[in-house]
Amino acid sequence: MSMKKLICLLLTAAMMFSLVACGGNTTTNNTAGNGNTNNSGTTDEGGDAATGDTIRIGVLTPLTGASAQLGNQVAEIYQMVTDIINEEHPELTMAMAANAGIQSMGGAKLELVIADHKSDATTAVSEARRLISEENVVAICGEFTSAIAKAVAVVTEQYQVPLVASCSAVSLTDGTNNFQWFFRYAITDETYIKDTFDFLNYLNENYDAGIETVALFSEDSEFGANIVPLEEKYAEEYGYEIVETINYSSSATNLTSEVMRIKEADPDVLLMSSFVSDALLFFNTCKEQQYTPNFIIGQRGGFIQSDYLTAMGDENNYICTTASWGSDITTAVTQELVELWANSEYNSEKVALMDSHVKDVMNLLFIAMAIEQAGTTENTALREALLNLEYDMDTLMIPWSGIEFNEYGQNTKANGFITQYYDGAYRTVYPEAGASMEPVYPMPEFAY
Amino acid sequence: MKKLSYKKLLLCAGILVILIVLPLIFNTAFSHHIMTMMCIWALLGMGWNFIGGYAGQISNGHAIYYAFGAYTNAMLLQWFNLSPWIAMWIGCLLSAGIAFLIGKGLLRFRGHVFAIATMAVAECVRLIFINTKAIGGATGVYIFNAELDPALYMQFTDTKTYVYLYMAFVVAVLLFVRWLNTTKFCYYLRAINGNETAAESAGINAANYKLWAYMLSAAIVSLAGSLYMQFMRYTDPSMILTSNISMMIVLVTVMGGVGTVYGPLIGAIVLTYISEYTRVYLSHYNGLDMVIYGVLVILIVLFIPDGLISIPGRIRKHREHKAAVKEAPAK
Amino acid sequence: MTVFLQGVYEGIINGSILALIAMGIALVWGVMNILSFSQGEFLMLGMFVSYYANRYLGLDPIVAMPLSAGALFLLGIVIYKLIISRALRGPILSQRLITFALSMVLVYSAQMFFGAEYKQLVNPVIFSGTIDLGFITIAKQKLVPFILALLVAGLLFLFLNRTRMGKAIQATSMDRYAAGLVGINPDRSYTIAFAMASAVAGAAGCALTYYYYMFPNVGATFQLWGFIAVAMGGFGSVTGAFLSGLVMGLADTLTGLYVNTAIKYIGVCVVFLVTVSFRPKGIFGK
Repeated sequence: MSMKKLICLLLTAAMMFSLVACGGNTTTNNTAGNGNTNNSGTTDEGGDAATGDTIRIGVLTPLTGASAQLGNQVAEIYQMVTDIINEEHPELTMAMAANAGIQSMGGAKLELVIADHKSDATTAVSEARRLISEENVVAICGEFTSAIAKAVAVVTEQYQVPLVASCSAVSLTDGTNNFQWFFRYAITDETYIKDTFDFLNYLNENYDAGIETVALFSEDSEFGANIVPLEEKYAEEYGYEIVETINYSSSATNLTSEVMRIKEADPDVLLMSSFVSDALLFFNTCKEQQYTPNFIIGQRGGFIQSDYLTAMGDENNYICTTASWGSDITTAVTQELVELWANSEYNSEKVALMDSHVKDVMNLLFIAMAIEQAGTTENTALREALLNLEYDMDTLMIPWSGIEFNEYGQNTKANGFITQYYDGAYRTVYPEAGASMEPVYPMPEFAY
Repeated sequence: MKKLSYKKLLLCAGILVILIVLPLIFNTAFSHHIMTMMCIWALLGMGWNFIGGYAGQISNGHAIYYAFGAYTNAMLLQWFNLSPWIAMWIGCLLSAGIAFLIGKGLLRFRGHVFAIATMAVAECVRLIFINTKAIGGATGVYIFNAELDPALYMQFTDTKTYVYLYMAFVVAVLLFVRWLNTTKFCYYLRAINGNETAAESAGINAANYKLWAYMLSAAIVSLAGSLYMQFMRYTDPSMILTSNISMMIVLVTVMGGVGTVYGPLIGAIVLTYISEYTRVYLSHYNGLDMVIYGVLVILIVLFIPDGLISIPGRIRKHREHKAAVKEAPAK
Repeated sequence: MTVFLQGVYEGIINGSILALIAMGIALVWGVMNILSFSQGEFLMLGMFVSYYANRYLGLDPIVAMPLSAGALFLLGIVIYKLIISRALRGPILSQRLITFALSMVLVYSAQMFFGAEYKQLVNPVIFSGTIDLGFITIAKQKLVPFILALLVAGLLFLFLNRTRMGKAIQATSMDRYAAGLVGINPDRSYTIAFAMASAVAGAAGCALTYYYYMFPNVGATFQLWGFIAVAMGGFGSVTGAFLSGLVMGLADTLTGLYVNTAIKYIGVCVVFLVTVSFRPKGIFGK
């Protein structure tokens, strides 16, 4: 091994590491701009989380990769809501809108630092570390995929930075890991699945549906794998027979054998945990096999993404999904938000407001409210405030029965709905109290 | 071992000082994260180098052993509360054992068929991992536990500790590789790689040596997997068992210089650096960072086919050539 | 029984796309000994050509097929000249990595220009709907890839064995230097072979848009199976690749139907590994 080679190796390494340092401190200069969806908005020096008048909040969301379309829309709506919080909007009912910025901190404004994790958990961890250690964010939100949130939670726990997420995996707040810095206001898969089976009971009791059998159709990554055991548990508890369990690869070249098996089993209700791609392929394959499922209840995922809805169009009519928000909620704050988003300059694709957007942007609002309540961005005070948040339900977009946290950072008083798609939007059909439409059972046949 | 000269000692001390000082100068968690990942990729590359570089059998499925290393750590901790310091070596043995089985079956294939077969086996292993609830299935495994003793269970709170520890691993493996490079083992591997029939006629049992190389590569890659698990503390099959990971392992080694001692290390450093920083600066152009990354790889592979490690050698040859040309007209 | 027949029929149909990709890979492998990791991306580009032709020109994918094949033929020539020909002078490992890096560039460029969201055909197409034959149901749009695969297999066979250019390509693949000695331009053979492979992938993409969704990374799904089909079919054998593709489609569908859908791809891999264990050079390998 020659001396020269060693020296070259050394120099290369030194050069690389030196560039690591320089690269770490200078960043692209950008702010939450107008209508520009893909920002890594940052400023020049790392420093205090609240430098003078800005409070930095990390938004870790997929801007590229499988959930990219939703991720981009989430980033956009975050920017819209940040503007509302930062400016004076006394005409709006939403919490934090009336005054400009965080009043208890002298009107300090929120600044979003948007980071792309490309739907990859290792990248997410890297970005989380960057957000915390170099962008000096006060809290991280924007994550709606459970697999990613799990990996990031390790980092936020290590650095004691609040992570407020809306992903639905139960294991994040059921005590298996006892995260002290993970907060979830939104509901978990457990509630969604229980709602699903409650809805089946409701259909049987009030509409004489005669549902006895279900089939499970779940993709094989973290999303589907989380849900299957819960479906099995509640099916047994509620007395429904599972006639077929299909686990399939979401990147399968075909779903022919899967559809054929479901057709053979002929369930009364099909429970689907699918992403956009597999859902689209599934429905195409169903039409090829001249099979229409009797009734479908999806578990969000692809069903609430705009590219899926654009591709399906009216064929999506009468397909149900669990939800935590509906555009038909009649409260003033909800309708205002629907209106604002429809006309917002940030809404680059002009999509209607959906469950997937709202349940995530609520996290931003909660963080802002917590900062307001704590009067500081210091992390333990912030944590206290997040866990004991004071709220006025009339100013929140999702009409839950309340906000109350258990010891694992889970809001136990959030509740969900079942919605059924009809004529361009998902409409609440259960619980009866909030329903805007009567459920239609069974589904009419596809056109073959 | 060669006689330690004064110069060499000074050089080693110099390297040591730089390695110690670097994480202190660039003291953010993000920089440390990058340095740690560089170490892990360096180990991956060095491991793969044995089968892909020295033995010349291009395996596109090494993510299997990466996953086995990671999961062994995780499951032994979960089931038996076993410290990763011990679990990682068990992981290496396990991976070597699995490599023995897979290698026995696949190493008789040549060239592209071998590559494709390793990809097929890797995909099967991924599906098995996803569908095995006992090890978490698709929902992954966690080993994060703030109550465990950090030193004993390798779950440090300070990223600096990770950097130093993993650097130490890299240096140790590097020295091991350097030593191995001078032994008959690598000598025979190079002979087999050069011309297998000729080597066999000289009495070298090619199949055995290739199998040993494959097992060794699996063990080192498994070690990298264990370290990865301790660093991330959460993993699932979609993070470590994809074909992309397998290809990146190959990429790292080839970019650096396949079949050389220091090549994989250089490749790991450069590629990690490029991929992290293109993402930070460019990802908001919806994928531009990966385009740049791909273009860079193409350029490097096209114009520096022997890998980055060959650059100093080429500059030297170029200078010698120039010098010779200069002398010639004078004659 | 009807389920079994339907399964067999569907298996063959599903295998047709694999066969198409595999034939392209086999062509490039057989002639240049390069394992092309970018065939999946050519498929993806073919799909996008078909999508945009459908959306902005109202063309049916089957009409867009020659367009797509032509466009990708040209792209293949460009890529060969710029990149592949240079790579051929380097070590084998570099060649493989170049096609891998190229696939990355293509995927992410597509993402930049076309967007990452999932798309399906917008305007109505002529091949939609099903025919119910009683014992099996035939979806019209699924017949397209099958017929295309047969056509391509047949055409390639004729081209390689009956035309001068084809025979020149075969000669070059057997012995590049000897071919050069008898006056064949090896570089030209390689260019045509590579371009044809990408054209085949482009046409396959059009066929796929009838029933599969489009997004930049769609090629990766089919790529691995294409490789396996080629390895099973045998080095350099286009016919072998075609038949293996169909066999794999059958293995896929029948394993899913009768064993378990979660592991149907393990079934495919098992078929592959067993085949190459008995015949390491593939079924039709030389």
